[in-house]
Amino acid sequence: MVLRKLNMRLKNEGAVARDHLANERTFLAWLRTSLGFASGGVAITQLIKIAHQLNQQTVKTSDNEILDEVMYLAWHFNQEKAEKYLGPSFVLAAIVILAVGLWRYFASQYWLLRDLFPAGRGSIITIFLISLLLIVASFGLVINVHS
Amino acid sequence: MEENRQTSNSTTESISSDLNDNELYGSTLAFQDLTFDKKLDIRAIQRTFEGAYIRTALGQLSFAMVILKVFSKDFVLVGTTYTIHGILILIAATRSRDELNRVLLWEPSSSELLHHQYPHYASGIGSEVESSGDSTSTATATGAVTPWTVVNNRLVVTEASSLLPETQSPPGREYYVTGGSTIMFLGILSMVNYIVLFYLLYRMN
Repeated sequence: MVLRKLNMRLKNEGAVARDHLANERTFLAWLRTSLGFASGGVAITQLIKIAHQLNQQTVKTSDNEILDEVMYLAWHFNQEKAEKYLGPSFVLAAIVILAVGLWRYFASQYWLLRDLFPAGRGSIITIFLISLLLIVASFGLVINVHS
Repeated sequence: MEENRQTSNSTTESISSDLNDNELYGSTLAFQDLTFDKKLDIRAIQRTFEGAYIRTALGQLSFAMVILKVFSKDFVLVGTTYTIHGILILIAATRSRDELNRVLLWEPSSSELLHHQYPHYASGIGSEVESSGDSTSTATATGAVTPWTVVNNRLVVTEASSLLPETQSPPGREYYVTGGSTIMFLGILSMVNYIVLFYLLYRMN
């Protein structure tokens, strides 16, 4: 397979194998993080779907005018914004995190072959900003539904 | 010099009798001492493959089960992609593990030991045995003196690999092959999974 060209045969002196195996595990940690984001996206889509269905029922059965209005707003918000974009944006975040993990693996490998190790900064800042963005967006959804 | 030979000879004999108990029943692998470094390598391999890879695959498969059992019917396709993804991670991990074990924990099989000559493994002991005179070692078809013998169709190691000269490491642990292809495969696979997932979630509205 073409991918085989990415396998490098190294002389196993000292901790060479262990270093590269640790690098591989770090990539797997990145992969699990990104899979967690994707799973979160799926879960949020399902939750919003349930909320949507509940709201529809409530709008129909409620005799309180204000409650009707709130439920309409919440339903409207869910339908137009959150339901459409929040789940997929979690998946987009997963894609970015996976790309960072892949880049980090091969960069670390490049420097390990030269007896150096790159301390991560950009990758940490990236994952921090992405998490912050999604948390704020989810928080905004909660605020909007309840206001 | 004569005394030295005597000591090494007696050491050899005492270890030989110990090692006869160490014949590997029904196994094709020769007995081999695990050096400290090799043990560390084995632990690292287990952390990576039996630990991290399997954890990733099991996480995917568990969430696939949650989606398929708990979530509403619209999510059947999402659950299916999760299942496929988890299974492919498992297969990639197993393949990569087997490949790495073959490279890093290579041990000569009994047929390899009998029919081929591994100078790295045998040369050090060969000279030792020749000088000691009364070796239990057998000569292979190629005429090389080997530190093993066949008893009742079983391979028995008659010399301890600790008797190898310091400069020679035991077989295996000579090379490491990086897992770049597995990583890239997982990366591409997950990207495809995410793109499908994005489409499915976006289409759901």
